[in-house]
Amino acid sequence: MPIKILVVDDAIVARKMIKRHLTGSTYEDAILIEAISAENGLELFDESINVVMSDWNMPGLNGLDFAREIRNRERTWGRSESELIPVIMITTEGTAQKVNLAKDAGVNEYIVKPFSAAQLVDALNNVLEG
Amino acid sequence: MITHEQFIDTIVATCAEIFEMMLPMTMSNKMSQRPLPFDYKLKDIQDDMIASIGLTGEYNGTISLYLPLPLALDMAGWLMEASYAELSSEVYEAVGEIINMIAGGLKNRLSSNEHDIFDVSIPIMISGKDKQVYHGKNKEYILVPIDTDKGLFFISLVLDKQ
Repeated sequence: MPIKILVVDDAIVARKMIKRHLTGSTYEDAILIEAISAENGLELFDESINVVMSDWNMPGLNGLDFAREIRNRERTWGRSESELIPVIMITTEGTAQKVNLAKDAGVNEYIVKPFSAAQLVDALNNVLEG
Repeated sequence: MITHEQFIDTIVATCAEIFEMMLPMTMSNKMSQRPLPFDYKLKDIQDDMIASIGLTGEYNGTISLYLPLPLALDMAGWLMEASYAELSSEVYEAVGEIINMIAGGLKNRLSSNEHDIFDVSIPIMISGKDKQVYHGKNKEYILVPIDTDKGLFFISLVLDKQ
């Protein structure tokens, strides 16, 4: 069964790039659910999602607060740490300080734009296969 | 204190990475020479479209991408998987993402583990004939030509004098 990936990025270019990078990979059949903002992402986020990919800088709620918010929601579902839905942040923010902030907010993998197809697939492998 | 040469090297390296990972373009051999073998001034360059981002922090100013129209349409078309004959909101968005990645690359490469060298604003796009961009007084200007197989474009870094 194909995995469901929630892609949260206000830039259509970034969402298209994720789709293109997955084409031809082992995740080609993944179902991409696109959100144009973090608020939209929260509306679309539910227990059927397998992986979340989110930008950091977005108008309104940013990706960091979005990650915190979905972790809070998962706690209300009664999920344990090992059952949390993996979050991959894909952003132009790439300094050590920002990466640490993201990890503290519950982000599992971090990709700095520009990114390659191999980086995206590696991140998916890491979060899905441990 | 970061030198002009370090800023130029970092901008060129960032563009090379973007070409490698996201845009089907390659730099000419001239881009590996230092100093870069070009002699252009900001007033000389073809700038059908400018995408600009504000920088605030240890360094304050703007970083801007100056594109001739055909190259802007070509880059946007590839990123958006579409074909464009004129500037549109989608072209602006695609070019905005490119200057975002350039500004981000500069920041990430030049920041230390302890602090970020600057924060970046959201991009603004400027197009049209006879435009003039005034950056104010007491600025340092760094103009970086990027020579590629698809044509030449420019990146400018305009910073408050330290």
